[in-house]
Amino acid sequence: MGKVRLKIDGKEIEVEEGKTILEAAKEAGIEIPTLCYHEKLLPYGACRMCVVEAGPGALKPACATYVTDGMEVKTSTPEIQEVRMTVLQLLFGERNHYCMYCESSGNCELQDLGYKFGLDHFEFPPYEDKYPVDVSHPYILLDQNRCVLCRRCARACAELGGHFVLEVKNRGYQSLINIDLNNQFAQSSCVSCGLCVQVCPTGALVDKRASYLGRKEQAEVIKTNCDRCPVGCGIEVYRRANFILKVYGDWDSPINQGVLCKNGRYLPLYEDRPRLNAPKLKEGGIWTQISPEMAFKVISEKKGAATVFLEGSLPLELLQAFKSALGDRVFALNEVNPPIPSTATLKDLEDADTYLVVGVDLNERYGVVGSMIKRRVVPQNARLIAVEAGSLSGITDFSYEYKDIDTALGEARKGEKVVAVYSSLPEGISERLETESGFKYLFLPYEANTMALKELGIEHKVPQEKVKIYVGENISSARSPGDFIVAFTPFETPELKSVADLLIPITWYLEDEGTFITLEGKKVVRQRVVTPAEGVLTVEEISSRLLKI
Amino acid sequence: MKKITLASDWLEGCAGCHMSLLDMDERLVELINEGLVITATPITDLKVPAFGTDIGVLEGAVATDHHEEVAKLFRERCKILVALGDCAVFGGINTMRNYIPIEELLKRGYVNTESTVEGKIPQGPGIGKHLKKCMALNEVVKVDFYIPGCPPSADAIYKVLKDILEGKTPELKEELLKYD
Repeated sequence: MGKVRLKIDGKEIEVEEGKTILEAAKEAGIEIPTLCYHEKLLPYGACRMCVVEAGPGALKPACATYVTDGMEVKTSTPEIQEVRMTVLQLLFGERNHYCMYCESSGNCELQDLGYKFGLDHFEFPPYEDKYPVDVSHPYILLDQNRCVLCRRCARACAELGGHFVLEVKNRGYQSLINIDLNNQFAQSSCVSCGLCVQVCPTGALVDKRASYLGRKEQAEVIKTNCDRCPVGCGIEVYRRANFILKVYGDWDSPINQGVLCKNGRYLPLYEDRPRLNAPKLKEGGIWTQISPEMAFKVISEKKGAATVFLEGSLPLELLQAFKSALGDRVFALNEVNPPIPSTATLKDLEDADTYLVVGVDLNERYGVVGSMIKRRVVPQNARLIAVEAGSLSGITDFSYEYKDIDTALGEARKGEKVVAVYSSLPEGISERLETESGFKYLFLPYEANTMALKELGIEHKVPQEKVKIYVGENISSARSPGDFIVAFTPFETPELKSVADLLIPITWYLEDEGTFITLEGKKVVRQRVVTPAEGVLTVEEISSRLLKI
Repeated sequence: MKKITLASDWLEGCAGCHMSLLDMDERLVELINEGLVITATPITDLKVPAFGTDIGVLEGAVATDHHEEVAKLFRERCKILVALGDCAVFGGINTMRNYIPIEELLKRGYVNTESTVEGKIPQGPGIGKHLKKCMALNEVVKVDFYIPGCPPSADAIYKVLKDILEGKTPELKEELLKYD
């Protein structure tokens, strides 16, 4: 691409062709105020805060005007500042922008602009009309009264999430954020990825759980990786005291570029299973709290006969610890091997023209992979072929059942760059899929750290032994007479207590540092963000105790 | 030393801004030593500013005809009128009532309250009548300077009064300009 020479505030600069004035100014270190603009979204030009003087005619929005050769741009003459101030006054004058009872005060881009421009009163009498508030969504609150109609939420929902749930209805001051052509949030096709909340500059879309629990400046933001699935998205965790306020997607992460899914953003924070806070032993039908020494003494006594079953949700370090302590009697609780090995990476999703999704609902699991595919289907004319893919079937013209796999494959073959996406596959289907020569295959591992189990050579086995040691967060077991069942688990559910003999508490989610191997084989680290409760055994502690048994 | 007189009053507010004013502590004495004379305030016997008062400070939004009267009185009698706090500056939290018809609002507050038994809506000549809309001060009279904040910090109030005493045009910036 060619270079373009232009002048911004008298400063001669040279930028690449196709850049906007805003981007060029940023390169030159000149700041232009923005509101509806978002780095990760296409320019929209809704708010007019970024107007600049560029050639004859009206002022132009810097975010949506491309640079041309010889352009002379002025970014902050008194006239421009006055226009911006008027724009700001109009924004504040419409709807409810009283900061004092807003959750977003202190973390609001409109407020920041008010402070920046020294706005100390309203020129125009403020709002009188009442706009709807939608509280139906389990995680998100939509208050149209606080909306500045920047449309960032709708743009992010479509451009980044690929969900196309949010749009704008009506015109002028009556414009409203519209959910699924006039639906309530809870009844809509929203997949709860939370992107809209993350991009909202004001308090129009807020996180219900984190609301009024602490402002951004009172929280620490820790960048780490999500451990809820093998995608391994970069996340920003907002922590206040020893409490996680909210989880945002990390815009700088090379994996997800800010996008998250329900499982990464909300579900772990809403976890309500009772936590296990001390080792417990069942004797004669009665549970008694015991010391960790005692618990590992029991394990040591049973060691000779014990078989270990590890969940794939555990960090690599813990898997290794069990592997080195109990060697060949360590197995994976769930399936490990892919039906067809992966030949594609997430990067391959960016330029494919056909996606064949088989047997996995990407709106429910691996949501970010779902976004990567869905956001290319409508705007880029890529085709989504869904075979028994749950809710994905509803959003594509090509939806098939397993019995029609041949038709689906025939349809897929019409594409030039085809990526088949799957997790577990039923018998017969994987054989059919495997024989395709032109396809790339993207296997979505069953659990967050399935790839680590594979790397350690731990194979799956159905538990049948008498003395079983389970390790994981979702343990259920059958019990026959004479069994001795140990569970290393963060949760003490009644179901587990009815079958187990010994429970040992382990850390969960962001309570412990641990390594995870993503579906692409990259090692990512989940950091310790919160300190676990007293009595919960850390990975390090379990490892050192296992060495001694 | 030139004396500068100040009168203040509260309208539809919570008195929090006046608390913030008192929160200036020893700086209030400093301002008085520099010539500030506090005349009519809610805590003095004198409630009404004299003609030609230099600075009038009003806290709270304009919600009733009484408030409107006080606002106009202050404007008439004070050379400089300062809106103190979010309610006076923007309308503030009181404007939430603009969404609800006044009859319904009074009923909810005085009759249908969960803890009320046989409640009635207070009436009488001494009680202000609600205006159709609760407003910021500048919707009723011309305001010269604004100190937003809920409540504004003592620092912000000090800065504005000090600037006026020194004959400068007060301007709040950065840390002193807050909406909450």
